[in-house]
Amino acid sequence: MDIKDFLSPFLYREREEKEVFHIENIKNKNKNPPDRKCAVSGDIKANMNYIKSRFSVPVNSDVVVRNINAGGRKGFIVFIDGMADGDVINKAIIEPLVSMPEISDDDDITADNLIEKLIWHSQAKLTDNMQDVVDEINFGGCGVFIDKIPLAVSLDTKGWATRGIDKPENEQSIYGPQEAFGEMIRTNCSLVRKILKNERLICESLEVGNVSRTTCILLYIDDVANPSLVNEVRERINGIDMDYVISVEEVSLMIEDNSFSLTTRIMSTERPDRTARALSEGRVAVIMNGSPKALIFPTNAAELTHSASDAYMRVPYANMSRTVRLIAMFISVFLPGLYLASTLYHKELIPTYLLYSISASRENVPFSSLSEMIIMELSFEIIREASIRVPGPIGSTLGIVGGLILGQAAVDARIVSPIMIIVVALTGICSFAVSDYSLGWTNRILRLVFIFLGAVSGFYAIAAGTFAYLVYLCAQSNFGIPFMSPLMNPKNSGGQGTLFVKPIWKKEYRPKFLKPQDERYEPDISRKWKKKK
Amino acid sequence: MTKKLFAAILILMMCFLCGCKRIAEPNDLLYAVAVGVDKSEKNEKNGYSFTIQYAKVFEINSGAESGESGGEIVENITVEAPTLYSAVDVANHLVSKRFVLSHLSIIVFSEETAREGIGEFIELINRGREIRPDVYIAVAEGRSEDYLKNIKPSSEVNPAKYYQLMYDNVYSEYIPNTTSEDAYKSISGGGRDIAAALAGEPAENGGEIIQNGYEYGLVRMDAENTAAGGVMGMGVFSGDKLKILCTSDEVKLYNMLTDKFEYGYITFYNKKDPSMPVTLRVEKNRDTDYRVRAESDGIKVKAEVHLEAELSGLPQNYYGEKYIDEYEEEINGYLKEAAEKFLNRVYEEKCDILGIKEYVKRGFFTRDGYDRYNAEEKPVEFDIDADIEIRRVGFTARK
Amino acid sequence: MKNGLTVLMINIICVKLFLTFPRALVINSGTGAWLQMLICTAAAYLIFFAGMRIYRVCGSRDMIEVSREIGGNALAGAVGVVLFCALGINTGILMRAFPESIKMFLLPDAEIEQIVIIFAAAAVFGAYMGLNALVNLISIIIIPASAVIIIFLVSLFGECDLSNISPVLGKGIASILSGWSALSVFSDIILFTLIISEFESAEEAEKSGRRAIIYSGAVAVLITVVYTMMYPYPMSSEIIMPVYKMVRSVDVVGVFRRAESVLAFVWCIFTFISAGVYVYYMSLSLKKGFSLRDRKMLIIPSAVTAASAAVIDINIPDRFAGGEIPGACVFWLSFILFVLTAALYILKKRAVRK
Repeated sequence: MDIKDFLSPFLYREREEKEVFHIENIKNKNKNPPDRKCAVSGDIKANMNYIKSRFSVPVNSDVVVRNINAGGRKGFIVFIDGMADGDVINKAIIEPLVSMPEISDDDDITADNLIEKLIWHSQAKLTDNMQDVVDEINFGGCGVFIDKIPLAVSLDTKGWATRGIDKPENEQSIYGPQEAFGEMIRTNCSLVRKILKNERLICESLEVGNVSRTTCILLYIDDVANPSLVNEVRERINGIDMDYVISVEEVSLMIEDNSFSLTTRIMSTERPDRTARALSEGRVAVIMNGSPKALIFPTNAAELTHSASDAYMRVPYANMSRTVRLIAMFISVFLPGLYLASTLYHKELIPTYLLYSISASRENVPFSSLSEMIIMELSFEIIREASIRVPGPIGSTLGIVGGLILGQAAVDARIVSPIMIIVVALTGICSFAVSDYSLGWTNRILRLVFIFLGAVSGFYAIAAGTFAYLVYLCAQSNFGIPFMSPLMNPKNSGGQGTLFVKPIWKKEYRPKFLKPQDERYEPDISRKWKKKK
Repeated sequence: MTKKLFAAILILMMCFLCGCKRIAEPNDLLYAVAVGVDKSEKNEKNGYSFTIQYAKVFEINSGAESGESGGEIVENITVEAPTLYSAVDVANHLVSKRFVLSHLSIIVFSEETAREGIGEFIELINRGREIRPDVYIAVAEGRSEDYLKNIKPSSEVNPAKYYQLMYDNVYSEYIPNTTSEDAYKSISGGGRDIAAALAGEPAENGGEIIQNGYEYGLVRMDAENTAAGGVMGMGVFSGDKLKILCTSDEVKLYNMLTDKFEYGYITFYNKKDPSMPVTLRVEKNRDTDYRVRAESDGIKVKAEVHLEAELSGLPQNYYGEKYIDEYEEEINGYLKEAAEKFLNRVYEEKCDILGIKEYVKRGFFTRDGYDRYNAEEKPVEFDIDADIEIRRVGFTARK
Repeated sequence: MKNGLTVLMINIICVKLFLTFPRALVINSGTGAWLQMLICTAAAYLIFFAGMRIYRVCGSRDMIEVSREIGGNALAGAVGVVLFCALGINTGILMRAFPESIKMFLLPDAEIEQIVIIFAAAAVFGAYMGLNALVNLISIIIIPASAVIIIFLVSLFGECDLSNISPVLGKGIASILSGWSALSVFSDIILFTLIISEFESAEEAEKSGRRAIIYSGAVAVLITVVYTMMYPYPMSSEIIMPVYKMVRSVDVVGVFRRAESVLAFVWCIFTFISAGVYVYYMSLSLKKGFSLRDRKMLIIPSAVTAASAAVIDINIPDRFAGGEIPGACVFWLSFILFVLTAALYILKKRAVRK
């Protein structure tokens, strides 16, 4: 062995320079955009070339172009594998076309007889515009072209894999229906329709996304909803100028009045019964293909605190439930701030026995009360975020481990005091009692603000913060309706009441702030059995 | 957006620059539970000796043992200073933490200090915000420092709870319930004169009632074995000066006459059989009816005390039920004489404990009229009637 | 909206009731303080009623618009400045008196400037959000907040003693009738000179103002009665913060002690609303007086002016209390301005007709 061979690993070697990848500035690669107004040609080859270039066949491997012989004439069908239902295509399209009698050149093939006699599928449309066929294919449909016929048939053959109708995950209720929206837009529409069963329920189809062309359905009851409200929602949705709109949450982000507001002003629900109830009051709902939620316009501060089960429980139970929720909300927002304010500035307000306990328990804690509070709040938020992302049983275990063991360990290590753990834990539990997910986020942010205010100047600063937030809410409006409108005038709240539930037979009027076309919801006497004969 | 962000940052800076000052963590403070005020031995003219009793929170939290070691839950510091807050100021330099008086339960004055006047202390307490108006007032025979140092709670680990239970007197009628706000109303407002609880050893020199206890049928309850930290009896003030000390039985009469009597026990010797004590459990039936007439030669007060009673204790073979009407008559007589003697004794020292002035005021339309009437001292005559109804004889009947 | 404005006016008047006012009445009339308050409420009602009757000729236009019609932009500007100063003095007094009270019972260790800054910031925020938002807020919180105050007053009935309110006429009828200082409680009616434009007609505005005076007068009388019954006469003239002292005595079944923080919280929010309204109208009076385009730009300068007047060494509230600034420039001005403006308007109309 040569000494050089031995030393070679340690000797200097010139490094090969590798090319570092940079993204090139390429704009408008496709300098020839597709002709969206192209008409269907009578020449099958021209149609085939157009379709192949539009769908980048054969590069686009899941686009299937299948030649057929329909009545002696050449033709082809095109669909996307995985989105279209193969069985429907085979039985309702290929089979009748292939087995149709010979079409001579003298036969006058009109739109009527092409579909009436030859296509066995229930939803078939004739079109002379290529773009219509392309749109249908993109959405799981199938296009049929036949030589010497300057028309194409687009058929709805959707057959992609979807979830069935599940129970609502985030809006659980012991009473009432147990159905939730899914990703299929037609299924969602049907869920609402079967509750309302009203031909005046309009499911107006809109498209959002310049490229994605996602179907959006605007739901409203024609003789109840205020037309100006419907027009406003429609205009806002039509005014969304984006290439891709993936989910209904993006729609809500695009049409909300103020993106930086702390409080959401659009309610989203996964329950068809809740959507149906909102529509019956004169509101407008939006559902979108691929999203298992509906947006409801407009909403207000009181309604965000309502829960789906309120409408199905007896009045005392529902009011008790709401009271508990409101108290929980108050605790989740104010408790940490008030605790800091009273221990730092207003000790005379704390009962003497409790004060001794707090004082003794804090003795060996190295941090100030504010730091302790922030550490605990941050830990709690981190545990919460982590448990969302960790799957299955580990997620719940993590919550227990984090909450109990870390908290207990922190107390034993004298990093925090036991009372702080109780305050933070109680706050956390109360925050889960809030029914609306967005409202929960609002409360979390407000809690942090009030913690700082409590540390700055005690009750006084908390009062100033409360005033500022309340006046801010009072200044907000939502589709022209003040956000706090039912709280200002509880008599006109109609429907589900403001803070408390009314008996179901007392809901004679729809909410006046919605200015519905028909204000009356029920007659004065809804329980006719009560009337004596 | 930039403007809003800028404004938000400014507000945040403003909050932290001008806030968060002078905050004190709860464990940086010492919580005074009681304060004792004695005359200073060094500066007899204008000095006081303040004993500040504060809670030892670690012992309280870990649950101190009862009995002798119960004293570990409080600690005392004695400082000589002209005023309370200057004493606190000095005391702050004797310990590492700062004293806070907002959780004070009681202020004890020595008899000597109380006789000179407690007006300046009451003013000080009620002008400030730190000491709450529901702080109890007590008078100690001897030095208040001795009383406070002898506090050894035997059944609590919390000193504030101890004082609350001792002085709230819901279950006992042997001390009056007087707070600093009552004292302030009396001293500054010209209201009824106060009677403060007597802390420490019970008063030996009471009124004629006790010395002649047998004759009046009221038995003196001899409290030989009370701890030095016990509370029984009262000191009656005229304005802000202590005038007389009263025994526990006189306190009971005082409570009955001022409608503060909840329930209690009266033991008396029936004239038919003087060796057999009979115990009644007595409750207030209705408020005392007062009829006050302000005449030129004096003030005539007629009062009727309404009580209801239950025969709690009867000697063996004693025919309690048969003689109920006679018992009622006898007790009414005892109470009438006892109350009139007690009131005469108290009003001789010009202590208006019933607030007779308040009743007299109602008869005038303007303040001037009342002031003119009140300019001369008027003698007060009492005619007290007791109306006691023995409603129940307990579970066991006697023939 | 009109109910909300009535409630707003009640709030602005009642906020001052939690400061020192019962003491001032007691010093003047002794135990007849409640009678004095009753008489002053009646007097304020009559003065306002008479003033608004005369002002009806101007419709529901505010004073600045009317003065523009009388004397052109110059007079409008002058009236705007006068109103700005009058409101500024009121705001400055509020910006000093309220933080002093807060320092006394909530934050004794804090610096007064810190409290004033937070107060000014809240007032600016409220003014920025606008009158509608403030009216909406007061409509929402008035019921729960009033319930809190009523519960407090009711829980104090146990501490009341009928003897304390005797003698009924206190220091005598002469003292009661000479005590016109209580009318200063209603000096916030000066805001009516600007609020009137929010109403649809002068009749509505008048009705709203009268209701505001009656309700706030009733609250004032109730507080005075309870205060006089709780504390005997010479003592009641010594208490600086009467309502706070009363509330400190609340002790219901040994449970609801130390509950004065709840009242303090409610009172703070009410005061912030009042301050927001004042700063809003300060900026509006300048905007309307000088026909400016934007009101929001004037909010911060108005608030800073009022806060500086409250805080800097030669401060307005002390001068006002010491009598160096005559009470007429705020307190009587509130009542006479209506009449003066209406009289000038009538004269102008007559001159035009001729």
